[in-house]
Amino acid sequence: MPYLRLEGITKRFGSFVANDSINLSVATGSIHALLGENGAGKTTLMNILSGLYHPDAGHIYLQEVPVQIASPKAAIELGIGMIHQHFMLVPQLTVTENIILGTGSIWRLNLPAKQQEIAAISQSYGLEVDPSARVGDLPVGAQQRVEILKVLYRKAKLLILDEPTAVLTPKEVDSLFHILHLLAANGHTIILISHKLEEVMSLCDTVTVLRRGQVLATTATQHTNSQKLAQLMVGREVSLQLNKHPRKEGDVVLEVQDLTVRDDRHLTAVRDVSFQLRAGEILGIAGVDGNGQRELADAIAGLRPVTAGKINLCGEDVTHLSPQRCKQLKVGYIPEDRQKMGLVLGFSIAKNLILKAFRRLPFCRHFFLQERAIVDRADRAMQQYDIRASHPQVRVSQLSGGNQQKVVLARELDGDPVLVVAMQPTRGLDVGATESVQQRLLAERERGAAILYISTELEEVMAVSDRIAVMYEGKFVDILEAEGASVERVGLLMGGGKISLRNNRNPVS
Amino acid sequence: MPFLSPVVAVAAALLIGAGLIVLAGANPVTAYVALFQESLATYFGFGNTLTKMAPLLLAALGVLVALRANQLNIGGEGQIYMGGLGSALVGLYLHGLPAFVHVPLALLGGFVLGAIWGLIPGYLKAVRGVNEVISTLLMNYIALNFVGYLVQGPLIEKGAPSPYTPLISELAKLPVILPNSLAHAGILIALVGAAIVWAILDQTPLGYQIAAVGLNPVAARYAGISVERTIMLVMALAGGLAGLAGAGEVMGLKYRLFEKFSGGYGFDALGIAFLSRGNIAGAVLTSLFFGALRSGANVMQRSAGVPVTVVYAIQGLTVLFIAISLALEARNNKRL
Repeated sequence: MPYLRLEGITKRFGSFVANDSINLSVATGSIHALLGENGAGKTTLMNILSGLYHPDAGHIYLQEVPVQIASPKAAIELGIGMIHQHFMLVPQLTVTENIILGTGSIWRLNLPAKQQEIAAISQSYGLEVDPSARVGDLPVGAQQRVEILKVLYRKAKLLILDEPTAVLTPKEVDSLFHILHLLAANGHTIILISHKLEEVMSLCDTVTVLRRGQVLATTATQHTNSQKLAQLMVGREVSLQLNKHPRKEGDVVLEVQDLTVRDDRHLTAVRDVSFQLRAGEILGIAGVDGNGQRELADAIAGLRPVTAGKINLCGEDVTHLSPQRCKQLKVGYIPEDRQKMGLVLGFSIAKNLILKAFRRLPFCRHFFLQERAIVDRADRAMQQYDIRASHPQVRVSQLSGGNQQKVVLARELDGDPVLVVAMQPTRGLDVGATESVQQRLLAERERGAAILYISTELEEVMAVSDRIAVMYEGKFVDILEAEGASVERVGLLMGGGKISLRNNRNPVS
Repeated sequence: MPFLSPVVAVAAALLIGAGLIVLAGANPVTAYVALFQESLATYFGFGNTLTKMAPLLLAALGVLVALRANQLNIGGEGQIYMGGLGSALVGLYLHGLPAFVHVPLALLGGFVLGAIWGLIPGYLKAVRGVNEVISTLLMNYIALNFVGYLVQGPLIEKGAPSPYTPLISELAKLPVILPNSLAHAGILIALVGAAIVWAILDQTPLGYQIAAVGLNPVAARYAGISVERTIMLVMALAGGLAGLAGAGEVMGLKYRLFEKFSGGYGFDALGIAFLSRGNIAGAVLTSLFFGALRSGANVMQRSAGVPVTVVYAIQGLTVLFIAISLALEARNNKRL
C-alpha cells in the first residue's frame, strides 16, 4: 500500500501552471526521489504537501485516506515533516529551543527534560549535535541536522528533504544517507528533492522525474542510469563530463604567504595558509563548509582584515587593501550566497550589472547615471551570458537561481579580471545551469585568468580544478595535482584525515 | 495600483471623520466644505496651506531619503528645532551682509545644524550599531529642550513676556511670495528641494548607492560600497532637509526663534512619508493635503463648530488606513 498518493494535483500561479495534474505514489518505508531542474515544480509540489499552498485541483491520500492539508500545522499533525533547503531556524536560539519551538505547553518550558529527549533522538539516529549550542554558531552541516531533529521530534512519519546534500561533505553525505536508510528501515517514508543524479541513483529506491510541472516518468533506480535521467530531466543531451583543455600556465598571479585571518567572532579561521596561483590555472579548494574557506576568499577580495601574512597580486602587495582598490585591480569575486552577497534582489538586472562600476564611465557622466549605457550593457550581458528574462528592467528576484548566478558572473567577469575567486558558484543550481557556469569559468581559464574555485562538492572540485587544496580547520592540509587524485584520498583529507596527519606531524598529541 | 490605496485610505479617513463630526453635533458636509474651501479656494487660506506645507514637505523628504537607505528617521522634529536654531543664530549674529548672501547663509546654518543632528544617530548606527529608531527619537527631546533652554535663557529677548529671541536681521528673512498672506519663499525651497532629492535618488550614482545599501547592505559591501559612510551621509542629508524646514519657519514665518515653534511637523512628516510610500511626487501631494487640513481646521471650528482635533483624527486615520492597505498588500504578495 502506498503511504502517500497524489492524484491529479494541479497548481496554477496566474497563467503559469507550476504543477500540471501530478500523479505520484510513494511506497511505505521507501526513499523516493523527485528529480527535476529548478522551476520543474518540485518545490511547489512539496509546498502543497507541507500545507503552504493549496492545490487548485486533485486529491491527496495518506495511507489511502483522503486528506486536506490546510496549513503547515495540519501537515505536522498528519506526520509530514519538511526539511527546507533554506533552513527555517532562529539563529539566536539554542538547538533545543529551535526544536521545541511551537510545540508543547505555552506555560511550562522545562528545557532540561526536552534537552535530554532531544539528545536521545539525536543519538539514536547518529545526528551529532550539541542541544545547548546556539544555532547561529553552528556550521551549516550541523544546522541541517537540527532541521532533521526538528521534524523527528514532531514525530513525522513522512520526511521531505529539499536538496539536503547541498551543504555537506562526502563523509557527512554518507552519514546522512545512513541516517535516511535507518529511518526508512524504521518505517519512515522519505521523499528526496534533488537534481543530483548520483545521489538519487545511490540513495533512492524509486525516482520520479518532473519537467515543466509534469511527471515524465516514475521508475525504480535499478532500471535506469544517470545519463537517462539527465536526459529526461533537461529534455536534451547533456554532457556530464567537462571538456577541459590542458592547462597553459602563465605567471604567478596570486601569492599568499602564511595568511592568518579571523572570523566574525574573532576566532582564527585561516591559519598560516600559503599557496601560489598562476594565470590560466584553476586551484580548487575542497573542504567541509565552515573550515575557513569563506574567510580566505573574503581576505583575498579585501573584504576582511588580515591578521598576519601577506597577499601578493601580480607582484603588488594587496594585503591591506580595501575592496574598492581590489576592484580596480581586476579581481572578480563570486560570493557563496548570490542572493545575500552577490545581488541586490530589489534591483533590476541592469542595475545589478553596474553594482561595481556605477560611478564610472560610461554608466555615470557629469554626475548623472546614463540610463541608455546601463541598459545597453545589460542587453549585451544578457545575450553574452544567456540570461533569460524578457527585459533588462526585470528584477533579479524574479529570475531563477541559474539566471541570477549568470548575472553575478556577467558582472564579476566583466573587464577580463586577472583573478577570479569563485565560492560555491554552482550551489543550488540545476544540471544545465551548473554546466554553463562551469563552462564560463573554464573559458576564463582559457583566456588566462587565475581562478580560485572553492566548493564543498568534492566531485565538482575534482572535475574543474588543475590542482586541489584541501582545507581543514583553517589550514591547507595538502595541495594535490587534480590528475591522479582520488575521491577517497581527498575525501579523507576533507574530513581532517586526522589519524594519519596527526601521527605524521605531531606524534606527541 | 500604487496610487489607488492612498486615495482609498484618505477617502476612508474622511468618511470616519464625517462620523466624528456628526458625533460632535455638526453637519459633516458643511464642515468639509468649510475646511477645503478655506484652505484651497481662498487666497489667504491657500497661502496658509502653502505655509504649512513647506515644513511638512521638507521634513517628509528627510524621512524619505533616510528610508531609501532603510533607515527610519523619527528625528525630524528635533532636526527641525536644530535647523531653526542654526538659521536663527546666523540671522541674529551676522550683520552687514546683503540679503543674497545672508539668506543662503542662514539657510545653510539651518541645514548644517539639522545635518549634524541627523549625522549623530547615523554615526551611532553605522559605526556602533545603535538602532536609529531609538536614537533619532530620543534626539528629538534633546533638541527640543536645548532650544527651549536657549530661548528661555541666553538668547531671550530682553523684557519678552514669553520665551523667544529678538527678531532676526531684516536681510535674513525669506520674502513673502503671495502679498497679504503668510506664504513665504519656504514653499519654493521645499519644492526645489523635492526636485533635487528626486534627481539625487533617481538619477545619480549617489542615489543608486543609497538604494543598494538600503536593499542589501551585504551585497553593497561585497561590491565595494562603504555601507557605513553611505548611512552617515544619508542621515546627515535627511537631518539637513528637516533642518531647512526649521529654518523656513524662523526665516519666513516667525522671524525669530520661539520655544516649541514646530508643533509636530516632524512627526506629521512620518505620516506623509508613509502615505506617499517613498514616492516624492506623492510626498508633494500628501504634504499639500496635510497642509490643507491644518490650515482649514481653524475655519472649520469657527464656521461649523467642529473641534480642531477632528482634523488630527483624520490625519491619524489616513496613516492607519495606509498601514492596513500595506499589510493587506504584503499578505497578497506572500500568497502568490
